[in-house]
Amino acid sequence: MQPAIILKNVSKKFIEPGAQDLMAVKDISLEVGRGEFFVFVGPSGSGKSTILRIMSGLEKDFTGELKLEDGLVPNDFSFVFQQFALFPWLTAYQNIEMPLIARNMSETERRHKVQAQLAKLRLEHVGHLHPREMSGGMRQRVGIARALVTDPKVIFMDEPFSELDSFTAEELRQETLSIWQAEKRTIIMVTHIVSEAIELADRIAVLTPRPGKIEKIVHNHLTRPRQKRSPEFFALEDELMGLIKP
Amino acid sequence: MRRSNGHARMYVSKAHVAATLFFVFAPFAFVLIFSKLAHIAAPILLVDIAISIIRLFFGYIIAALLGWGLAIAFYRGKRAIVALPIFDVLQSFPTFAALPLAIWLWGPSNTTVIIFLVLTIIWPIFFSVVSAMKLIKHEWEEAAQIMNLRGWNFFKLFLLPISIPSLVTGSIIGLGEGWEAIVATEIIVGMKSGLGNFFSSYSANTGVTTFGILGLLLLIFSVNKILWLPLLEKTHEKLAE
Repeated sequence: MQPAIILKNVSKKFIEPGAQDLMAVKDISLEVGRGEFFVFVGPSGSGKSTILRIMSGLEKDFTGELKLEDGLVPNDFSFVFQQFALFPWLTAYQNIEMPLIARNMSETERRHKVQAQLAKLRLEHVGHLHPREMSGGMRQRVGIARALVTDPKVIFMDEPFSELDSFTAEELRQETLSIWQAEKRTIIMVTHIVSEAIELADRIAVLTPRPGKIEKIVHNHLTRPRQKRSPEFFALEDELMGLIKP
Repeated sequence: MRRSNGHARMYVSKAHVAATLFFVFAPFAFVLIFSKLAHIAAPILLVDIAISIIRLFFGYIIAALLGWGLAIAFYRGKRAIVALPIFDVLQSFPTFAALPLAIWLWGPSNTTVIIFLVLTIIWPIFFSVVSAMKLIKHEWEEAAQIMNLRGWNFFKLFLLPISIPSLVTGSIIGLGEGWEAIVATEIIVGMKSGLGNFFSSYSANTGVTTFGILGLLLLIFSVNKILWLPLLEKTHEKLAE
């Protein structure tokens, strides 16, 4: 698989005046393949979100090397946030439309693309609502629609289902998986839920606690759709739980 | 699932329309009755009020644009580290101490009064907007960054909606101080028109002065009730999550 993003010896230290320096991640080297579903798991403080922000270009102050596949530019990236990060002063429609406005797309083209995403995520009936008028699940659907509307090559997801109830989270996991299987975009996700990582990922990077280092990258060979109650699923879960240090 | 909290509905109810009309007409009625009882020509009194309101309006517009613009330019980054302590010192400066200098430069003119209004109103607006901008959710900024929202779009679609509620809050506080400043400045500068002139002329008449102050309070209360408080509620509701 051709690599889309390569990290070489990436480290990130947070320096706060008057406080002790904090090494968030140290010597991270890995490759994420084009079209791959790659997941980081680890305990709190293992720097999962920091790595995601470095890879997506949100965090620019780090040491080491970040290489992108030829032709891949930051405009090809999108991000799904843990707490949705929808703009409350805009409706669902306008939130989804925002990245297209930033790309100076014509109004006709914007309308066409936003409506396609509203239909894909089953949001047609809530396009006129503001985020405060929607449930958590609806808000994250809007967040995913906003991430998909620009046809990104790489989607970063920072614990996208952790704020949702278990039923909604499962529903959105399946929808994310369907979209990924249909469109074959590269997805790089962070989670602290091991079963979620096994359900979704092609490969799973297990991170150590502070400073975050790669303990092991595990290939997930379970056939899709993955059976969460199968012995193989439990065996992989046990293996990963054994690797995660609190 | 949360629904619209219904705040907007009260502004179309009959009771609210009646209250609005009351607050629009009450200051006028007060002026007419007051001028009749105090044997002051109502047109002269209305002109004095209008002149002060116009001066306050221009002072407020300039202060709002400047204060808001400076707040957006300096709310974060290295510029903020340098600029905010300077602005903090400037806002502590006793404005009236510079009044003799201003009179020497521009005389007892509208320019002098408006400059003093700007210096009074700008700081509550500036610090209100700066505080609000510093509390912008980090994820919102990251969302804007990842979608490459820049330049005019970033200003219009991101900074503007976030800063408007704090602009309204700062305006309410700034205008409150502005009313005080306009009367004081007009008196000290010796303007021949405006509310300062009115209070200065009747300073020996306790009754007229007392009712004059009551009338001014009624006017400020009405403007707040009709304009600023609904605006405050509406703009803050926009940012509610």
